[in-house]
This record gives sequence, C-alpha cells and structure tokens, in this order.
Amino acid sequence: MYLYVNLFNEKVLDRKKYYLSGDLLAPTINSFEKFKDLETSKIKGCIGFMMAKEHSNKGVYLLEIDNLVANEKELSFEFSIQDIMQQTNEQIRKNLYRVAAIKDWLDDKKYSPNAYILDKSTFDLVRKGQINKTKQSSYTSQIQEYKSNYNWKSIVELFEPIDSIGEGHELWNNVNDLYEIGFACSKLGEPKNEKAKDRTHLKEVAQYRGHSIRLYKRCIELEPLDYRYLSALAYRYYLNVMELSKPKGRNDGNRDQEIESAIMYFEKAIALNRKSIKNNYRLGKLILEYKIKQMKYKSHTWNPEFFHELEQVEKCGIRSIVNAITEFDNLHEEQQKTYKNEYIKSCYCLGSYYLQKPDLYINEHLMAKFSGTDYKPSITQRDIEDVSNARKYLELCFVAESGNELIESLEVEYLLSNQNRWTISPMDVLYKLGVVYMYMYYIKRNFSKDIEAINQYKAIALKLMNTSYQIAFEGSKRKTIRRNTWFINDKYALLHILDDNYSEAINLLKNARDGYIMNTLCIAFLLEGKDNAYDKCLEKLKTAVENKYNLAKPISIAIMLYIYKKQGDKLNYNKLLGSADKSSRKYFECLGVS
Amino acid sequence: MIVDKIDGCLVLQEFDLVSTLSEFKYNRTTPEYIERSILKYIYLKNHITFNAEYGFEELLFGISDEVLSKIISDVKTMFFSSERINYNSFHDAYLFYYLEANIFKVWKPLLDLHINNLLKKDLIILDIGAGPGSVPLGIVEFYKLLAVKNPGLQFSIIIDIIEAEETFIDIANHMISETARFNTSNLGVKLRNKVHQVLDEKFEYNSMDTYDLITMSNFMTINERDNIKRGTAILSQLPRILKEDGSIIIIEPGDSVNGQLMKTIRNEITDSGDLNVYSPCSGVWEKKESYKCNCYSPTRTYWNVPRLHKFLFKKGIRKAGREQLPFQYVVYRRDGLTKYNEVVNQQYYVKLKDLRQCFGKSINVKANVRSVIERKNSHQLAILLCDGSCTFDKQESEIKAVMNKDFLTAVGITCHVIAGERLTLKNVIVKSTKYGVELEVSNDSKIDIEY
Repeated sequence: MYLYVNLFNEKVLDRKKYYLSGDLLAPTINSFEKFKDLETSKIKGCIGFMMAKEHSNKGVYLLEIDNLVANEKELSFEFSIQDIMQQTNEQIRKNLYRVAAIKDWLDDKKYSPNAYILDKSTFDLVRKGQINKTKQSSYTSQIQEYKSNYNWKSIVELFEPIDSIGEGHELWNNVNDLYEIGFACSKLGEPKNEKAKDRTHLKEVAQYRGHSIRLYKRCIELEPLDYRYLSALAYRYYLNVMELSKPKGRNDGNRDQEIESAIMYFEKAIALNRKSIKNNYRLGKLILEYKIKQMKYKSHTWNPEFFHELEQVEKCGIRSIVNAITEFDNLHEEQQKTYKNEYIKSCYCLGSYYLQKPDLYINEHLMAKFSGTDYKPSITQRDIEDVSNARKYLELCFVAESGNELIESLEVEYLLSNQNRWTISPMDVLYKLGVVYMYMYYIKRNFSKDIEAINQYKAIALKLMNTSYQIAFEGSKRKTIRRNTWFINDKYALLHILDDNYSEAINLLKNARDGYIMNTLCIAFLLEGKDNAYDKCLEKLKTAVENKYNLAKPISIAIMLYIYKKQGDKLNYNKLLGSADKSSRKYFECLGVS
Repeated sequence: MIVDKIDGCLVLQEFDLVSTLSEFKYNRTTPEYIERSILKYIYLKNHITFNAEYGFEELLFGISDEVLSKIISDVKTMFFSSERINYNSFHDAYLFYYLEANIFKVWKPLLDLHINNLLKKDLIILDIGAGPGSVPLGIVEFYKLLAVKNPGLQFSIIIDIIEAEETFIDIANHMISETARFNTSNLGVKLRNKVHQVLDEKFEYNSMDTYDLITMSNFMTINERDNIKRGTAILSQLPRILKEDGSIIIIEPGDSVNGQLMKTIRNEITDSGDLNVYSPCSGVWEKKESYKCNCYSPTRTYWNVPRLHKFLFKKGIRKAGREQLPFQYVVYRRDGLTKYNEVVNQQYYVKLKDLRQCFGKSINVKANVRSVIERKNSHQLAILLCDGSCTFDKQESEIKAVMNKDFLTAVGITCHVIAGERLTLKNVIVKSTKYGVELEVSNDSKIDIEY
C-alpha cells in the first residue's frame, strides 16, 4: 500500500507526528476500503504534501513512517522526512484531484480526501502525471517547443516567407498549425512602445498582422463551426483598436473599421459559444468604450432613429458584459481562477460605463450656489439607477480584487505594495468607487433628508477618495505610478466643495494646470468668497480658455462672464459673450448671466 | 524534465515530450564518429594505418580492394539462406553493414517507455547477444539526445554484454569506448562486464547483476538456431535478473518468418505469467493476460541512408539503399504495466470483431496500428488494425483503414504512421472487401494517433 497525506501546515513537519480524525478523516475511510488494513509494515511508500498556495512551488516530502494507527477514530503515525521530491505540491495536488475525480473519491462539495491509500500504479501515476501522447504534425512539436518559450520569431522563421503558406502548401489544410502560426504572427504584429512612430517598424509589424488575419481566416474556412478561430480573429481586430486608441500609439490604421470587424467576429464567435467569458467581455468593452463614442462623435443627425440605434448598441454592450459576469458566477471555484481577470475587468468596465452616464448637474448646482440664483438641478430615476449600477459593479470589482468587503480597512501602504497583483490598479478602482459614493452623497444631500445616509456616504466617499489620492501621491513619489493623477485631485476637491470644505479643495488644486481642474478650483474660490477671489479666478480661467486642449472651456467662459458681470466690466463681458457658443450658454441660467 | 527520487525515472514535464519528439520529425542520422569508429576497427584489424586526420572519403578509399571485396561479398551472402549463421568470417561485414542498420531500432521501444515516464536516468543494461554493440550504441545515442535537451541532469549508463563470439566482444568494446569520447559531459557511459559465453542451460544467472533494461536484438532469428530452440527457456530466466520495474526489449528482423518465431515465444512466455507485454500489442479494451495470435506486424524506423551504406549501394548492394528499416519488437515488463491503458468509454466505439455487423454504417473505432502499407502510386495509406478482440491469421480477415495522405496532412499528421501506435477513428464507414473489412474515411471523419 502507498500513501499520499495532506500535511496541512509546517507545524506537522516539526512535530513529526501525523494525526487525522473526525470530518477530516471521514472521506478517507469512505473512499478506501483498505483503510482498515493499514499497518506500518504494509506501507511501501508515503508522500506528504501541502495544500496552501505558498507551498505550491515547493517539493513534496518523501516520508518514512512508523507506529501507524488506523481505526474509525483516527489515522496517525510518526514520520521522518527521507527526502524532498522534485515534484511540487501543486503538481501532486492537481494529479490527486484528477485521480480522485475519476475514481469518485470527491465528497458532495467536491473536496478531495486528506489521505489516499493507493496501489503502486496509481501512486506512480499521481507522482509522474500523464503526458499527452497525441501525434501531431512534423512542425507541431517544434512550434509547441518555441511557443513554450514565447519564441514567436522562431515559429515564424520556420515558414518564412509566410506568404508561401497558401494553396498547395503542406500546412494549408492543417488548422492547428495554421492557428499557431497566425498566433505567432499576431504577437509579432504588436508594435513596440518606443517605436510607435518608426515607419519601418510599423510597416514590418503591419505585415505580420496581415499574415495573422489571413491565416486566421483560413482556419475559419477550414473549421467554420469552431468558435476558437473566430475568437482569435476578433481578438486580433480588438488589439488593433487598442493599439490605435493608445495615447502615443500607432496611427497607421482605420480605427472605425477595426471596431466594426472586431464586433462582427466577436458576435459570430459568441453565436457559436455563448458562454465564452473572454469574448463577451471583449465585445462589451469594445461597444461601451469605443463603439458608442464612435457613434456619438461621427457626423450624424440627432434624430429618434439615431437614439434608438444608440440605445440598441448600448444594450448589446451591457448584455455582453453581464453575460461574462453571469457565466463567471456559474463556474466552479477552481475554474473561476482562470477567468478572474476577465471578471474583474468586466465589472470595472460596466461600473465605469454606468458611472459616466448620469447627468447630475453638480457644476450647475455649485454655480447656482455661489451666484445666488434659484436654479434647481433635477435628477431622474434613470440617473439614480445608473449610479446604483455603477456602485454594484465597481463594488464587485473591488471585492474580487481585494478579497475584502470592508472599505474601512483600506491601508495605503498595503495597497501600494500589492498594486501589481491587482488586475486594475487599486488607485483607479478606489477613485471610481469614491466618485460613486460622492454622487450618492450629492443625491442624498440635495434630494432627501436621510441624514444618516448622507453622513455615511460622505464618510465612505472621503475614505475612498483619500486612499486613492494617497496611493497616487505616494506612488508618484516612489515612481511606481508614472501617469497623470490630477483627475483624482479634481474629484477629491469636488467632494470637499460639496462638503463646504473649500480650503481643502483649494489646497488640493492650487498647483493644477489642466483646464477642467481650473474650473473646479475657481468654483472653490468663488464659494469661499474671499476678497480677491475674482482676480484669482480670472487669472486661472484666462489660462484655461487659452488652452486649446481644454474640453471644459465652455464652463471656464461661463464663469468668466459671471465674474465680469459681477465686476461690472462691460467691455470684457460683451467681448467674451460674443465668442461664447451654446455649450457655454447652457450654464448662463444657473449663473444668472444673460 | 525531473527525476523521480523514488524509482529514479525521468518524469516528463509539460513540454519535455514535445522537445524529445521534435527529434523524431527528422529521419535518424548516424553520427559520423560512429562510422569513423567502424572504419577504424576495419583498418586496425586488417593492419592498415589509420590516420584520424583523414576525411571520410579518404578513409573509405583507404580500405584495400581485397578487404573491401570480402566485405561486399559477405554482406551479400551472410543471411542469404535460412541456414544457421556462423559469424567466424563475417565480423567485418557485419560491423560494416549491420551495426548501423540496427542502431536506431531500439529508439522505438525506448520511446514507448519514455512517454510513460519509465526510463531511468541512471541505467544498468544487459545486452544479450550483443554482436558489435548496436543496441548499446543506440541506447547511448538516445540518451545523448536527452542529455543535450536536459543539460541540468547527469545521466549514466552501465553496460554489461553477453556474447558468444569473442571477436564481437572486441568490436563492441572498441565501438563503445571509441564513441564514448563524443558523449556530452552530462552523460557517463561505462562498459562494465563482457561475458563471453553461450546462453545455454549452464549459464549462471546468479552471477549476474539485476538490470533496468535487458535487450536482445536479432538474438532469436531463424539463423540463430539454438537460440530459437531455447528462446522461451532463456526468456523465462530473465525475470530473475530484471529489476521489479525493469524492461526487456526484444528486437527481431522485419520479415514474417522471424516475426512469427518471436510471437510464438511471446505467446509461450506470457502464459507462464512472469512477464507481461508492455508494447506494442497491449489490449485496447482489457488487459491482455495471454496471447494466442501470430500475425505479421512489422514496424519501421526511417533514416537518412548513412555514408557506409551509400558506399555499399554504389558497389552493387541494393539493400544498402533502403530508406526505412523494417523490424519487429516486444517490450516485456514484470509489473503489469502496458504502454496504453484500457479504454474506459468503450460505449462510443465498435470493437473490430463486431465490424461485420456494421457494413455501410458510420462508426468509431480505437485500435493499435498493426502495420502500415504505403501505396505510393495512389498516395494512400492502408493502416492495418488490431484491438485484441479478434485475430488475423487468414488474409481475408484483415481490417484496415484506408486514407489519402492528404487526410492526415489536413489534421496535422505529417510524421510517419508506424506499427505500435494507437489510432482513434471517428465517423468512418465500414465496407466489405475481398481481403476483409475496410474503414473508409470521409471529410466528416476524425483521426487521432498516439505515439
């Protein structure tokens, strides 16, 4: 008889005594008839393994055992460690689980026994595993070898020139190898970051992308009912969209066309396999983050047909992401590990989409507050639903990332040191969740009298925003975060403004240079109401208006007009009014400007 | 690749098999140092000065006409009849031609063991009837491949040989020591014991070590009369000197007479119960305890015709131009292990014995490849099958799957299909022919072949 035993933890190793009883022993007694025959002298081999993740890559223990007791109440023995095997705990764990599943040794909850009593061949099989013996093409083994080393260039070099893979080529009907070559070409088709403007480089990688698409299309011709090839092709187009959308990325393609192609092939792939989490997520992301923007900014007539079409597209995007999340929830815990990244990204994508939807008129509300007009912002049920959905999905994202449902226990240092383990940076997740709670605080404060909820939402929003801000601040200082994080200061300051804490807001924004942040800073100045507020504002706003990249220019202009009016500066007022378009004019009512 | 500390076997990790098999993409090629070592022996034996600085062609043309004529004549006549062979005057010819022809045959049974993690990192082998040392050289070459692919592991091979011909012991000694200089630094090879003795009733098995691998190549051929007579008796003694997890590899020529002799011995030995057949004839549906069949099932090794054979071919020896070498083999073990496990989901397949009830129907089959016939003109392959459920003693009882090579290419199989591999065919149509049953593949058919 041969044993595999779960050692649970290192304390057992120190004690050199193994003991199993009660519920931990029951599956072993139920699964192995030979349990009652166990004796020290009959044990020809015993291996101890650890279940905990931190031991995954460590070797299992070859044990020599003595004084074995096996009865209905316990399994116990003393042991010494003979050797540490090269087989890892993870390998043994997985092989045991596989054998247990085949032999029906798993319990109702699909848990495997803690001690296994095996014959020699099964003992060996668990230790050594079983390799796939399927015969493949003469190229397949070579391709797989290169693939295991991520050596895409060598795969492609096996077939150079790739153009030669066409009608009459040995591999032209071999869907498996064609797919692998297509995949390698796709990898080589990704432009290098530092060479996004190097025409020679861009031309070279574009050729690889072309080959990849051609080979994937051939795979689809050969296996039209296999969703994998449609997925691969769709993903190539999806990557093209990402590459063309990346700041400072390549611009040698037509993004609109790539979006259309990606969506078309994702839809075909999903029609063949509705449960694909990756495809559903990617399709949803494409629609919600790219297709909808493309529709809005492309020249069109804002008529009911357009709104109807936009609504249908949006529904399709949301449905895809919801499908990805639902399919993930339907998976077994072990399978979920494979798709956790897609799940997190799905939640983040959908939460972020809902977050940018509601029109809460916060700026208008604040403008009315400092200008003293009786403008009353309204809110719709749809806005509340959007905020509620944003909260739902971003909280799911946070819980999946942190494994923690308690926002109170956020620790900046811990989050900073673990940020690489998060799929989405903790700074971004907490920031968006902070914005959600800020909106909830704003809605409750202005449209309800539920003081408890108002205070609760404000406290959570402050906690989230502060943590996000601290991560950004410390990360920038330590150079672990290198991107612009002023957007966090802006919303954190806005939260302070809503909380009537103007000095904190001014402190956060005083060194900002972006136009939209100047607007927030000026709102804080004006609400604070100090003597020199108008001058300070005009100085900042003039810079903001001159900035051609400032998308929030209409607000800047509107506030300037308000200040000129208050100062009685008719000349500048009239001059600026002449240049104000309708996007500025919509703020006139709340500012009392006409 | 890792080493199992319990039994010392090499355990393949995810891409190790792929890495090993990438070598099988190409035909086997005899390293030049083996051929130079052959020539060196011929030179020294015939008192010709051997100059290691010479190029290969120069060495070939340095052999005197007299010596060369005898070699050519001997290669032509050596196994011409079924007469009992006497090697007395044939050593040079056997070394010149047959050593190379036999080196790579052992790779197939070694691969059979390797894919199931049964090859030891440190190997102690006994080669019975070693001749000029073809099998040990073949094993060393296989391990060299593993050593190159796994520079972090230290491999070792200890070789004992038993040989009745003293001259062959000298040759084997020469070949193994000469070629050992070309081993990689992480492969140690030692020729330990050279037993000059006939393996008869008087042989003292107790004086031998126990072995991981015992090999016999061309030991029980029709030309080795006494060995055939004693075949079962010799084989039945070997478990005494075979380790509990060791293997015995028997390799015989690829003709039907020798194949039948080998299988007759196999059938007798498995009845005795001390040894089980590991490969190539493992049961598909259940473990085969005993064997009654005696079909002809040659396998092949494909190689690049080596320089010495090309030279002989030019001198008029036609068989020296062959690009494939047919042979037959059996791997025995003591522990009941077989190359393939019994099929669990049997309900999805029709057993070969039941095919005659399925004419015209589309079915799935799983079987071992018994033999492969290449029809070069029609670009077709006829793969003869066996699943252990029936025998193939009569010609009209054949069961074969016929397919165009394009069909295999389309699913990625461009390597040779050879006997001893396991085939799964889905959606094939059963047809009756005058030779037996034919399985016809179509565009809907699926095929999987396991090494």
